[in-house]
Amino acid sequence: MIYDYSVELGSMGRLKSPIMISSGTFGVAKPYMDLLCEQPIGAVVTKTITLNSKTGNSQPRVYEGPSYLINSIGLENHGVDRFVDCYNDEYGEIGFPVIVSISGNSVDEFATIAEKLNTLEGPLGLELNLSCPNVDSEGLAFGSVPKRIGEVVEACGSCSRFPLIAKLSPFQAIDESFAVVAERAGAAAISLINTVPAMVLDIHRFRSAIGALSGGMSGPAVKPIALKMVFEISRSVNIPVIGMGGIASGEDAIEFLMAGARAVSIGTMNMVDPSLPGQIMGKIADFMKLHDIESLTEISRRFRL
Amino acid sequence: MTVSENCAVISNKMVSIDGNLITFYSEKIANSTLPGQFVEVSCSNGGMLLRRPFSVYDKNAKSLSLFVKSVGKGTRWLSGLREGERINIIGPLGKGFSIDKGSRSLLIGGGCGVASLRLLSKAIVEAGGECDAIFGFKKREEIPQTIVEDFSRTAGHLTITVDSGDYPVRGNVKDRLAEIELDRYGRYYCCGPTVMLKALVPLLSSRATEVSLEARMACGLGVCYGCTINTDRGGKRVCYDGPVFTMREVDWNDL
Repeated sequence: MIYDYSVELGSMGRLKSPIMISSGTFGVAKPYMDLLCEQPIGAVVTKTITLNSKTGNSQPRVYEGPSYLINSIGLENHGVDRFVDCYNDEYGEIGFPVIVSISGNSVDEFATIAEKLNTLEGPLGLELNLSCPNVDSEGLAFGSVPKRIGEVVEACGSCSRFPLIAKLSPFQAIDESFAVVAERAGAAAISLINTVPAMVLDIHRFRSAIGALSGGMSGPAVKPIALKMVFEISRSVNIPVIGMGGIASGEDAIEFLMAGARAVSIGTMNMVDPSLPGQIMGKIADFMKLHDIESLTEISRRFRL
Repeated sequence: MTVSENCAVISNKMVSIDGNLITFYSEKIANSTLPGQFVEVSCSNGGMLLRRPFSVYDKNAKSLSLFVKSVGKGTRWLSGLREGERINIIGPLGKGFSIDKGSRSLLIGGGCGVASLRLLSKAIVEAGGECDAIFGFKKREEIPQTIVEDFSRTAGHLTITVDSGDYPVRGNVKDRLAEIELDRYGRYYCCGPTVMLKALVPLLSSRATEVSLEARMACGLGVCYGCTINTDRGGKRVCYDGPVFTMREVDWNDL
């Protein structure tokens, strides 16, 4: 039997592996690239790029709990112009397809960034970070209503030459209308979930243990929540769903594929163990052999409801 | 090149009231580690999510050792490692110290910060240079005797000072520094708690001083930006642009 480990990601084409690296946990820092270069990675998603440079949030930016990580980095980055200038040097020869994550405080800002990225040759697509819980707009998290998500996807779609992925927060993913609106507005795929808004206090200092007061939670603790959302959303839309949230093993990844994800993305746990893509791929291969499964999409077709 | 290596514990000795010196079998990482660089040690077998960062205390061709002070769940678990247990280690990581052969150096360490100065002192001596050292601890029981003995073989003059309690030399490293002629040294290297480093800034920032910073890290690999500090060149990652910085470039008001 010939096994096929590639996945079709809508208008983005075919990835040679269903394993992606999530935004915020991939960078071209040399130590990380030394560890990742041989891994079976289908695509990597850059740290989120904003219109202007951002210095990020105050320390402490990370907090580790049992099976979870809370982070509040604050989208530290040098802004889209610098990103475009450095793109070929930084990403030109990394050996993986690249998806650029972008975020704006308004529909116009998203569109401006998307347009500036048109000069790049490399990327496979853009991922719209519609949900970063650390960034506010008029007191409300940007994208708290479905209509706004549609406006962003439409505006970016009309000025970008790249396929768009709409990345949803848990609060956008719990209500299928956000994904449906994104699909109607032209998104090529949906990815979910972003981190879960979370808080942790340092009781003896009477203050938050996170510099920016609260942050986003990731890691194995969020996996069952993410899995349920991926299951529901993948049944609500016809475009591919990229599932993520606490994936730490091959079994976790297979659960997401079985629940309906076309591809999976690993984040927090890949920073802890950059050999995770290879381990996951090995488990997927064993699983397919064991159950006589020829292609990845068959995993979800075999799911008995 | 940074590698991931499964390293067996060769020995694990308690060397102070809350500190262990753990030696791991390692060929790849030990081989390429430079003074001031660090490693990320997996604590997943102990139920911890993230790795723990440690400077490499010492190394030879086939081993590296870490000074592990028990300050939380991860470090307490590591302190209980038995001989033969295998742990995944990623390294070497970060930018280490720069060595100036020509001048006499003073190494200033506080608490477990002394660990990052050992390979440096060996490198200085190997390069034909000379160094003295001042180490500060909170109390006598925290002094890691084995480590002090190791240093006494490479450092010309070693002063140990203790914050409080029963010890002949009392006070902190700043008190000791105030007693010496600072012009004697061409280079200063400091590693210890942030509060200690901050106290040294008025005395040493106008001199050729390098500091190795401690920081809470998530990835340790330069990708998550969890450990960013402010410097005169903007935000810098402690794990990637550091942990060694010049004292002058760090924005101490922000730490």
